[in-house]
Amino acid sequence: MPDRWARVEHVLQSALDSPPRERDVFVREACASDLSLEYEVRSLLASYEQAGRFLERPAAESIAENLADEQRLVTEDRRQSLVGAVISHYRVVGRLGSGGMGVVYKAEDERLQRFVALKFVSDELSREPDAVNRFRREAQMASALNHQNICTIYDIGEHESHPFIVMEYLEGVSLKERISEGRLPRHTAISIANDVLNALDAAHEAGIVHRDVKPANIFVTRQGRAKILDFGIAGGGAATPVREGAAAKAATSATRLGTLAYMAPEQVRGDAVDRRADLWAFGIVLHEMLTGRRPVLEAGAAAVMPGPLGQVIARCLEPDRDRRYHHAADIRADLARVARRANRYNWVEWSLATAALALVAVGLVLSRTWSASDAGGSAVASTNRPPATLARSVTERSVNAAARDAYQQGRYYWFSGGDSERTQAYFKKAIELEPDFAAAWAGLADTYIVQDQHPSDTSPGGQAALKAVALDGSLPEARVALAAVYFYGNWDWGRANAELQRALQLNPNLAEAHHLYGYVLAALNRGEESLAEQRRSIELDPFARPWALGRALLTSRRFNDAVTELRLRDDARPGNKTTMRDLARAYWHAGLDREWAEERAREFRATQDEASAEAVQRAFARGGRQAAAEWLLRAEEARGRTTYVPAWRLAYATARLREKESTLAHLEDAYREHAQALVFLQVDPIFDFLHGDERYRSLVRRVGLPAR
Amino acid sequence: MGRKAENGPTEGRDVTGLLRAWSGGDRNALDELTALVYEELHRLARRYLRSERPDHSLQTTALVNEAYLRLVDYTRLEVLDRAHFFAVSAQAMRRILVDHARRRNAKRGRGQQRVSLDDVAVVADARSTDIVALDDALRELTVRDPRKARVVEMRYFGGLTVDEVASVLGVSPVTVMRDWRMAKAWLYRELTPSQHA
Repeated sequence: MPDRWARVEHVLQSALDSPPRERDVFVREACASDLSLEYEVRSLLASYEQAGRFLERPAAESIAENLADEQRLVTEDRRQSLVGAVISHYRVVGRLGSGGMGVVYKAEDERLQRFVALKFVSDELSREPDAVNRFRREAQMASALNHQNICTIYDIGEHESHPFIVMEYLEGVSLKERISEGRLPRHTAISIANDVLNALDAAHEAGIVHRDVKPANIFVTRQGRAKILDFGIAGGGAATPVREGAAAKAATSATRLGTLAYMAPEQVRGDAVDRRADLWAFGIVLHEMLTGRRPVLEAGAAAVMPGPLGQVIARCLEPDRDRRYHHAADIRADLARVARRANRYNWVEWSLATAALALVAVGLVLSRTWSASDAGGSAVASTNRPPATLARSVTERSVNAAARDAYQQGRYYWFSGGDSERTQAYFKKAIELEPDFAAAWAGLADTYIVQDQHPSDTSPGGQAALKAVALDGSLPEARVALAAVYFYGNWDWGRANAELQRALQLNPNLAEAHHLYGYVLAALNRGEESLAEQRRSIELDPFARPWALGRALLTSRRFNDAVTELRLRDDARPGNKTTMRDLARAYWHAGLDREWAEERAREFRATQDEASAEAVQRAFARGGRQAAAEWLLRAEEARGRTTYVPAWRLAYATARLREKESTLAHLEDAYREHAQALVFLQVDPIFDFLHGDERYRSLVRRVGLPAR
Repeated sequence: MGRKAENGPTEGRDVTGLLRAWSGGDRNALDELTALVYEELHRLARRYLRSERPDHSLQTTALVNEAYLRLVDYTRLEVLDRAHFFAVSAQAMRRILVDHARRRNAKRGRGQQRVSLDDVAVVADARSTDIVALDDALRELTVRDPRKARVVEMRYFGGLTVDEVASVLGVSPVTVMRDWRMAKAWLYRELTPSQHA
């Protein structure tokens, strides 16, 4: 390697390592008066700053995308040429639109003198025999459904080896378009809901599950009648279980993204689905019609609009399908009841509530904790729970109903990551009603531990955890709470681990045990095992802690994978602050600066802090991520002058700027404060730049983390 | 699109064996590999076409990873073999993909309709990267700093993670990242006409 190159590299790397505001001076000094060296370094620095996502996506990806683009053009040409053509006895008069599965034309049926819609399978699908067969089979199946709220299938045919379906020609707009203009008037929404339920009822009675009910598949005719489209057709494309085995799993969930928002938990997991999956999707659609947005899905339960309609929706959105409505007709009956009552009370209650759109819990909210103690039904993946855990359900069955309700409410808020005061209030109420309610003590412990300055045997969190264990030593949730005290409080990995093993023995399917175990493994730098645990936790409960796997990928330095994973979770369930924050971190480390800045702005907006959102974006526009990071640091410092800002947060803000001295000083403060987050001191990539420093290593030793 | 995939998914074929043969000097092995890779590219392209979203950035990473996984099932390799095969497969991928790009450029030169890149052409994205020019620049880089060129080859063409590259090269992931950022800066400058000339 030539000397010159090595010198350029040395200065360039050091410049990139130093805080941006010092770079200019640094480069000038480092190059002394060697102007050509200085020029070279500066030009590379500029190039680096402009490079953005250059080379960040693998070559195969860009090539495949170009191929797809070319194909799109060719297909486009072919499609246009169909207009004017006569296919069988259908004269094509125009193009109606296209979607993932293919393109739809308007045509005139020359025999019956009526308009029809011709739907062609897309080029790429028509090459896959499987897809074509599925298309035909499902068209046949759907043609058996003759119902006024289902788009009628007249015929199927083939044109130049492209299969097509002849369907009823409809005039109007899709429900998706309708909703995009704002929420629907109540009576319109209820009328459409009734039509959809009629259609689903008829289909389900015929043994057909749609599997892809969503506004885009519901058509509203000019007369205001709703018709379900793509019966069984769209579903085949979107929801067919993975063929390629485990490796394809991530990819499959990614391709499902489009409709993931409407999928029932069992469908997301890839389990076999039945009619109840359609009823879940219906619940989402109804909520969206009434409020203009989809409900927030949290922790195995949905936070839906309040009021009697909200209760109907909540029952559609029971994570455990056994507790969901079983028949479309039952929903229809409940809606009719609500509508009757509403007419009497003039909807005051309802409209007030919708205006505020407060996110409140309605209906029975299930948590995994509860499911584990309820032998009858379970929220998530507990069908194969070992009999050992059933024993203690007896004690909890004797808990009185009001305490149980309060406990469930508390669990709901806890998993929503929301209001901690309210969470605690519910658990306290449950304990008040039932002082020996171990699960409620464990719940209370969970909420206290995150707030405890230094969780320990004597802190409120530790006390509650010990109480829970004393009341019911075989309650796995109590063991997990105790493990959290040892982990975050005592930094005692061994005892935390022992408690978690115990919890997992008691209930191998307890998502939060896998989750916390994953954290312990991550802290100890056992990345692969940690990933496996988080993957398990998210499998067991896809709605709770959506960031879990993404964070594990982040601490395993798999930044691009972390971005993909967190975006997937964030898309499926927008609004979770931890997911947002972790996604921002993943963007930062993956070098996706623009996305990072946008995510940070979004985070501020989520707390109604528009001024900060704009400021961080302005800083980014002015000077890239360094300028934005500098602004964030200044904002933290300013906040620190009026209120208490944990040292850990300051350490983070300075670490972004790679300011070694101040970061180390803040970390020392954090150590004195016994910041719980220090358990991740060694694996958090933001501190990588400190790894060579002896003071940092000493800190790592004092926290008790094994050296890397 | 020429090749069709009626012959089904590729996972049944022994890509590992072909790579081994190729690295042992068997030229025909590369042709067979090329066929497999093309098939995989078209399969990927079809998947993109099927997706409704104009922005593919989400799905594609997963898809491409899956494609690499399908092509080379690293998990089947012995630990010692793995590092070697990471490197060999990245080399093979580079050869195949550059060749592919070259052929397509030639095809366009003969007056075929040019692909519209509309919105994507304006962003400095891998998608608008001229792969043939990059290959040339990478050769230049090899002369100056062979390890950095290999890092790029393995990451960009081979789709390997930083950790995997680190294990092949026997350096720390931090070193790989440092190599990557310098190589990226240098290559970007090389491929951006006249800006810094």
